[in-house]
Formats: sequence, structure tokens, C-alpha cells
Amino acid sequence: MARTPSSAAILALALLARAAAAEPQQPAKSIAVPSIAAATLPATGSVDGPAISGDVNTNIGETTLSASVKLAIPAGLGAELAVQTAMPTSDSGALFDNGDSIASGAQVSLAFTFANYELLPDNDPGVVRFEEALHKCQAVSASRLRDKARELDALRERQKKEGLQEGDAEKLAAREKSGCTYSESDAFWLAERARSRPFLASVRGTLGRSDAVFFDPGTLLPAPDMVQAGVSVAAGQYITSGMLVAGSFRWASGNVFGGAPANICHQIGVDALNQPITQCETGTLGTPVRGNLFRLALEVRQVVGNGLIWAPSASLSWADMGSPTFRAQLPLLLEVISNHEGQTPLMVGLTFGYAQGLGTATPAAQSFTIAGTLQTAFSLSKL
Amino acid sequence: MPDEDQIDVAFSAAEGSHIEKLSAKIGEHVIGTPATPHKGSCKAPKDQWKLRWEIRGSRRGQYHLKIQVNGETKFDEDISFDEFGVDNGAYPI
Repeated sequence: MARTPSSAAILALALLARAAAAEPQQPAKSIAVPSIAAATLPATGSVDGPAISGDVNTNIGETTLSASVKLAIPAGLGAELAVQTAMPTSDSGALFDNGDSIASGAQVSLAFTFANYELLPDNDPGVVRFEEALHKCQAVSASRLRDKARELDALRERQKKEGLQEGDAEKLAAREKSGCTYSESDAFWLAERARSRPFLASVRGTLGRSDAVFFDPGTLLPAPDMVQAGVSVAAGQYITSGMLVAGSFRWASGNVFGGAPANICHQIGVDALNQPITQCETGTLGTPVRGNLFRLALEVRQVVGNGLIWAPSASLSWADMGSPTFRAQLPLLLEVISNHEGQTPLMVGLTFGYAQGLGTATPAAQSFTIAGTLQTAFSLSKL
Repeated sequence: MPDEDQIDVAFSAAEGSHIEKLSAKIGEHVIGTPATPHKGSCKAPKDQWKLRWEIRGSRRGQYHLKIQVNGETKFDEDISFDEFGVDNGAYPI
């Protein structure tokens, strides 16, 4: 039996906000700032112990506020329990970007992380050369070695400009005699080649629901999104101390129906002049359909130095009922306030994003975004 | 005279910094336990041992290292993390 509106009082004025045929997978309108694949990395500017963190991501026409509470458990195998909520200021659509972070609604996640930080063997050539340099310069660590190398660079610079000060010539001679003649660049690479390259792996389970609303095409009655449950596995390998290459695969079970965004207005009464008073809701015209969602992602995250981080990534996501969507994003983050000396960290940045629905040539399936972000975190133990 | 040194090593976060991960060894002896991950003690052949470590924590912050040999403090100083929040070293050098 065909369903009809349940009440005459519900006068439906369905206005399709966008002319679009049903697209099971639409490019996300707001691009979550990192991380797609490198979820195993300690968060940039992370604090130790339980922490509250907050993100504000905004692009033209939409701002997403998100907050999370994380409880990290230090153990041989790291564990992290996180509760996250996100609130877009406009219609965000259903949670098609089946990521570990959310664009709207709420999500709880539990992650277990394995990390291998084994020291390189004593006879590794990089370790032998590094310790030889430490010995020559009487420095106990990489940072002390670099300090000595900076001093030598400054001496050499003054020598080149013929501006040696009193005692400089003796210092240069002593360096030559001891063999501590490394430039800062030399010292950096000596330390770098003596370091282990940690391998990280994680598995994360998530349970959440977006705040998307669906309107039954027959009754136009609103219905909430389905609960989405998912599992992500990720692996990352440090290439240098500041660069990580990571990949991840995610499977989730949840709504796979995209539909067209619609603005549905209901009459909720009449005013003194007997004119109808309407209340409008934005949602998706259609009924949620449970199915499988998949995503493959690759990411490179590099701390360039001076608090600048960039993390180009690409992902391919698809659902049972739709063609795949390709996404690429380039976040540039600047650590304005680092988390040392008891300061609350603050990151600002821009994320350039591109998304393309594959298997369709409609312009609506393609989007470019530029999003701004603010990130911070507070250690609960310090509150 | 004993033919072994008693070595006590303690890494700690300097004021305002934190330690995320420490890997430290004297020979094959791993410093730290799950309960006290940043300090440890061991006996090692006299004057023939070496402490090696890699530490990850606050970028541009500092950590503190204290080394005692047979009860005598041999090293007790703050050391800097680099721009990646990492440092590595060896003692004695």
C-alpha cells in the first residue's frame, strides 16, 4: 500500500536544494583535517595522559566544530579511547566520508596501537659513526652535538668574513685537533642515521551516528541516520625522524544511500492572520539503506621544521551501492604555540581538498575545497 | 674491588615537557619497566659499559638525564629535544 502523508497538518513543500540525481557517494563538503591514514601517529602537539581536544574547520559556507575526549593508556601496546562529537553549521549530508573522524553527530572509538621503537644494534655503521662524532666533540647526545656544530659554523662564518674575535683562532685549532669539525648539517645526518625507524600499526573500532536526517519519500516524515560501526587498520613507517608514510583500510557498516539534499517545510500552525506558519528541515530525500562502506588511504606526514607540518594524502572510498569517490587533500599546519613549557598547544592551518566521484561526469560529483583549521588540546591531568 | 659497576639511570621530563617514548639500553639490559618506564638500574662490567638511548617527546622542549655509577652522580643535566621532538645519545662517550 502506498504511504501517504499522515496528517493534513503536515504540508510538505519539498524543495530540492540541488538538482541532482541520487548519488550514492557525494564528495564531502567539509574536509576533515588530518589524519586519514596516519591515525597511529601521536597527534601533533599532543599532550600526555587524558586530554580534551577541539577542532574548528571552516570553508566557504560551512563550519564544523568538533570536540573529543581521549584517554591514552601507556602500556606495551598503546590503547586510546575517544569520544568525539561534531556539529556542522549547515547541512553536512550523511556521513559518507567513512573516516575515523566524523563530520557530524557523535562517535566513540577504541584504538590499539603497536609501535616498534627498538634501538639500532651497537655495530650498525650509522651508530658507530655517530658515537665516534660524540666522542670527538665530547657531546652526550644529538642535540649537544648539533650545538657544538652550530658553534663551529659560526666560527667558520666569522673566519670567512675575516671577523674572528679574541679566542676564536684557538677554538678553531682545538676543533681541528680533536676532529670535531662537523657542520650542523653533518651533525644532523650523523644523528639521523643512528636512529631507529619506528614502525607503527593500529586497529581502531568505531561506533557512531551522523546527525543527517532522511525524509521518507512517501510520508515525508523525518528519520535519523543509521548507526555506523566500523573497523580501521593502519600501518605507518617512519622514513626519517620527521616523516611518516602510512596506509590504512577501513570497513564500515552503515547507510549507503546518498540521495539528493532537500529542504522540507512543514506547516506547524497558523498566525493571527490565518497565514500558515512553517518549520523547515534540511535532509536527504530517501530512506537509509544499510550496506558496506570501504576506504583505502595513503598519507605522507612530514614535520618540515619550525612547527610547519604538511600531510598530503589520497583516498578511495566506495559503498555497496555506488561508484567510488577519490579524495586528495593537502593540509598545511603551523604550530603557533607548541606544547612545551606548560603551554596549551595551538595549531592553525589550511587544508586544500579535491574530491571526484568516479564513474560519473556530472560537475556535482567534483569539488574543490579550502578549509581553515584551529586545533588545540588540554591535558585533563593539569585542569 | 668489585669488577662490576652499579648503574642507576633516570630520564624525566623537564618542566613543561613530556616524554612520549624512551628506548634505552646498557648492553643488552633494557632500561625501564612498564611501571617505571623512564628509569632503571643494572650491574655491568666495570668501565666497559655504555648507555644508549633514543627519546621522543616535546618538540623544542627538554628532558633531564641523571646517571649514577656506584652511588656517585656522573651526569645530571637537562638536554634538548630537536625540532622533531627526538634526541639520541650515548654515555660515556
